Amino acid sequence: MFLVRKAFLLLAGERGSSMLAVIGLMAVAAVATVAVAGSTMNSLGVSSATRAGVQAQSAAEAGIDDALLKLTNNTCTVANWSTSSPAAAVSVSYSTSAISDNWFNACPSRAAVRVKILATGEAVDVGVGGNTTGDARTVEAIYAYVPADTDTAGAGSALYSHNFGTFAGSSQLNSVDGSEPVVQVRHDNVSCDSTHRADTSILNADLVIADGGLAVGATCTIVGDVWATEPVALHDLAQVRGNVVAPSAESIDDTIIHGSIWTTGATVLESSAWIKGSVTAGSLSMINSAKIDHDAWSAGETTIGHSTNVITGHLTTQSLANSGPGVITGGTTAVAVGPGAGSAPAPAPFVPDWVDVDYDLTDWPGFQVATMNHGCRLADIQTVANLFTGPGIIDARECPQGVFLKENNVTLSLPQDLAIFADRFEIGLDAQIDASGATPRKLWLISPDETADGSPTCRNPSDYSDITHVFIVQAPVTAMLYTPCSIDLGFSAQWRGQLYGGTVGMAGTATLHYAPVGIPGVDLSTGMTPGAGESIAHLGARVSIRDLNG
Amino acid sequence: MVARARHHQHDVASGTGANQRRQRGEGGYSLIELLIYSSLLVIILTIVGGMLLNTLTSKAKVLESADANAVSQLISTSVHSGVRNATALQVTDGANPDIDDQLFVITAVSSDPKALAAERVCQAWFYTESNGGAMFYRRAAAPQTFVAPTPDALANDMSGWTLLGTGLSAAFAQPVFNPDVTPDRRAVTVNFTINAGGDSSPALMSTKVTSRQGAAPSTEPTCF
Repeated sequence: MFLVRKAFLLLAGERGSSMLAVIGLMAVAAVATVAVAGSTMNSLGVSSATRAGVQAQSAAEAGIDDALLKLTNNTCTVANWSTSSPAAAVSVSYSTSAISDNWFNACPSRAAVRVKILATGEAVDVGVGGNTTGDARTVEAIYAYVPADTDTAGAGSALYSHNFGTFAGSSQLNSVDGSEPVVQVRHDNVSCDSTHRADTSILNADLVIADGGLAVGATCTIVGDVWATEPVALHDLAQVRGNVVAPSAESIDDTIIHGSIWTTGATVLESSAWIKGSVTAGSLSMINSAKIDHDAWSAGETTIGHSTNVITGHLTTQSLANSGPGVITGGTTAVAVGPGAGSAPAPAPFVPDWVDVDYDLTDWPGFQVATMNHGCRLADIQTVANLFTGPGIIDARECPQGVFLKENNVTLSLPQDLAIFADRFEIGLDAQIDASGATPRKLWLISPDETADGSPTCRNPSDYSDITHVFIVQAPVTAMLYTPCSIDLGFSAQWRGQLYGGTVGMAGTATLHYAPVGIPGVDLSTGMTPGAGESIAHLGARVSIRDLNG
Repeated sequence: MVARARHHQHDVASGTGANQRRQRGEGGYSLIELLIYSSLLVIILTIVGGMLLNTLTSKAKVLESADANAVSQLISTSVHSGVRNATALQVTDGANPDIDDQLFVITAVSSDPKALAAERVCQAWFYTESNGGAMFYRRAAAPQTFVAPTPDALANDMSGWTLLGTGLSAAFAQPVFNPDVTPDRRAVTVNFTINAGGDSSPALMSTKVTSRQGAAPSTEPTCF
């Protein structure tokens, strides 16, 4: 009993001392714990912020790459967007100046010279302990921007016809910018005369016939130069305002050549034919009332059959039979052995062989593709075109009757550049093609030539593409119509762009307003594939890239 | 008389009981009890003291480690953010080959969002064995000519420089700033050790940073 009570008293006496020690220990431990915990949290914050910074930096870089992809593919439609994984807020701006700091927060326009991409990446694991310094990183990249190539190199001629070329009625060809376009005919003859009901056709272009001759009549006027490899015949008030280069030439019935003539063979002038320049010929024959305003050079015989013939300049010839006698104001030099070939004309521009354009998407980088196998009318084309967020291709080769752009009171408005591949195009009535705003838009209507043989392969002659009635391609649209079959631009149709066909003809009061369009992947000027063709806008070299604060 | 006697007896009886109680509560401890108590107290205080010392030592180590970590990260981040924007860089060793002092200067694209991308800033890091092994940083608009602080400036006046951290030393056989000498590259490897635990077991920090910028054109303002 005593011992139990004693022990109780001892414990009662020691309770305060132990408690004191424990309290002291706890106090010191608490202070240490607070200090260590604070320091640990701080250290954790620093480490987590570093980790977050790395993640955010990578996310920002990914945002830059995402923007580059959109700009490279021409799929940039909005100026600001976000990516989810990794998370980044991306902003695209462009400048129309190479040096100024004025930026427009929008996808680059055709006037853009530089593009700025601002990407703010966010960390997946944010900093802890209130350390948010690494939660976001911003990277700014500036790239040069190369707008769509407006260079005409590779675009080819205003009108290319592989076989034959006919210009009838009062059809006209000119250019939208006042430049002198070129009409190229690879094979066979070209006519612009009464046999095709020509009235007052005017070709404001050079005419190059690589393997054929030319017949011009009925007041048809060719404003540029003419090169032909077979005889050229002018009659019935026809005029050539430039020079004529051909194996032989006949000019009769009040025809006028405002330039000069070069022929390796005979040049025959008759019935008030008037050469305002000089004549260089293998032989020269002036029948009656013909005039040559400058010198004449005949490598062979010269025959002047009537006194109404006049050579205002000097005549150089091998022999002269002046029975008229005609008037030779500048005198005559006769060289019995022949004076030689005389001065050489300007060489004929190169007319390339037919370029086979098939359906090859690699030639159309940056174009979105849609297919169409039914409908195939203007409204259907418009519906699909509106879905494109960048340049687009409609593959309508499965359309049974081709594409039908022939309706009244319907307008195809191009929101983007557009290419349509189909076996044939029927274009007419008073349908129109235009685009809102002043931004130039391009339209390619292509009937592909799948046989790579350097000549047009028209699988079915009914696959012609006629442009008739009062169909109009309005500015700012320019259009290229390509088909290995025939093209007839007739009635009062107005085409703004280029025509490239197996056989091309113009009639009625149709007008071809030349504007270079070209075809991507080919060089229509040289016939080479791949060529320069049309190039779409694209990013250039990187100008700068930097990490930004904040 | 009889009643007084009874009362007295009662008082006697009462006084005896109180004395006994006092003797039991205030009677003190025996020597044995004190010895046992003291022994136990010594044991407890020894244990508690040991724990306290251990706690304080650990606390100091943790604090030093955390501080070293923060300093290392700060220096690394600082060099990283600067060099990534650098169009030109230069490392200059101290005049005394026995001392590892180095001056690292870069010409960098401005990271200020309000500044043009064409604007340049000069940034410099200076490592010195003095002051317990320290790293300083300074920044100014280009063009500039940054030079290493003199010993006198190190001792008395480092105005213009910001102290990033102390307790640093060069890693064995490696300079603190080791530039990449490959042509057309702007990169630097940063190596240093930092006393992380206060027990002479420094931690090695090593990081390499490569600039994303193209080479600076000759007409660009320089910083060295």
